[in-house]
Amino acid sequence: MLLDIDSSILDAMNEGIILINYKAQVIGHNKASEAWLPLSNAAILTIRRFIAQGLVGITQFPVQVDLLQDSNAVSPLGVHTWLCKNSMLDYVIFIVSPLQPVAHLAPVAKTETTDQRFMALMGDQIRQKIAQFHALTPTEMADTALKANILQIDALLEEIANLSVLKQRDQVFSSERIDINELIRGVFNQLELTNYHEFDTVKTPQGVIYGDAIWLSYAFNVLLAALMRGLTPKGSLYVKSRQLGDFVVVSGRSVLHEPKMSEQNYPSPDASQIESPEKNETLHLAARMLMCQRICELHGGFLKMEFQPVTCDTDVARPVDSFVLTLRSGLPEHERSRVSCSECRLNLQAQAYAADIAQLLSNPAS
Amino acid sequence: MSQILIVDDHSDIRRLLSVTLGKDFSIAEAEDGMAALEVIRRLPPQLVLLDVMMPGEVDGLAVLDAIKSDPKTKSILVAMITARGQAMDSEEARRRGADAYFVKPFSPLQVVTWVRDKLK
Repeated sequence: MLLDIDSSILDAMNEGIILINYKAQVIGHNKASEAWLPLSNAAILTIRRFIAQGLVGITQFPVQVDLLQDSNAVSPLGVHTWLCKNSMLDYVIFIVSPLQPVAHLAPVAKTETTDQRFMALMGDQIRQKIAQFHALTPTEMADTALKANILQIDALLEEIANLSVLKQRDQVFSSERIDINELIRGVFNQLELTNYHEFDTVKTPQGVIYGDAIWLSYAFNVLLAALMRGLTPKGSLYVKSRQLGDFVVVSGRSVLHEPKMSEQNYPSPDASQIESPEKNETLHLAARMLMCQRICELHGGFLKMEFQPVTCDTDVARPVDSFVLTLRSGLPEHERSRVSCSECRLNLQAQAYAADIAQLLSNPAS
Repeated sequence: MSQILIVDDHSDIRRLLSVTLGKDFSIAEAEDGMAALEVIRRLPPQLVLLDVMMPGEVDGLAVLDAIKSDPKTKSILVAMITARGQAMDSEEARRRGADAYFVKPFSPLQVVTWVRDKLK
């Protein structure tokens, strides 16, 4: 069981994840790591030494640790065990093997709830990163690319833990009636975007969105913050929303900077670029953008972003130049797309009708 | 004969209500909020059975707001028929002026009883 994170995300993975505190005590783990527990005394001492060295800056995380020292077990061929510092989850040990197949997402079950779908998508984010790890060549395995991949997985895990703490309620994904303009204005206020920044709504009737206000607020926070990162001191930020058929279209752009460069997907950080705390922060920005894309998809939305051109080699999370987010209005995505749910409701409705008829037949006078 | 407007994006639900009420009342149907507003402007009906979540720019609550804010239509009785079964959803609809709130799957008998009681 993992603290603050739905265990279903990580239990389906072939890769082991062990959460430990600063005393090297295990505070959580997924199923794949069970064979590695309990940690041997020698491993615990080594981990404590790394943690102490990390605190005074002698050791830079992630660092490889030998979990099987002082035990009779033989480390499976090609298995790597890495210790990472995670600001949300203290310390995390990743047990990964390029020889193991990547756990793929099960197809979306017809009876799957939106909560389960959301968790599956979040888990998919981590698995995508692990798949990249598996694709590394032997040379890259021994090189900085390996470290970079471990850091990216760690950053994603941290973001998911962060969001899990943020939610803390019965339903992970709720279906609220959201006035999207009100929500965006709220995000403008949160980010204190007042001077030189505008939010416009075209004066046409605009539909409501059925979805999760917390997740959508998070997505707009990430998008607007990404636009802000690219602003020059005299730059401005414009966000506009309008209704187009059954969709609400929200577009945002920053102005007064260099020519833009089109790109569909958010660029993945390069291994050689990850060294300093500043660069680690960009890993989190990249992780947030991925989460943002998934949240939009869960709302039946389509997010297209254009990024600013690379200005220097170390800029692994380029600022967003503009974005267009299209969201379906008036009907939640899960109501629209999941035929099985609709069929299920109709079956229940038919049963209710049959019960009424039975009641009427038993009381002909009524 | 009193006129009832049934608004739901699911044709099966519209048909069920239409068959159930069609013997005693004149029935009009609309599949989304915009079409409902057009029918209400044209007829107007005495009572509206209204779904909440429908595709497009006007959902059920927006139709309810339009009905209850217009002096010409505010006397129309409105019953919400929706899958949204939480107490806060029902309270929100009633705050906006809904006269009744039925949660899917609803009992057609209860709906008929309510409609007959209101339009007798």
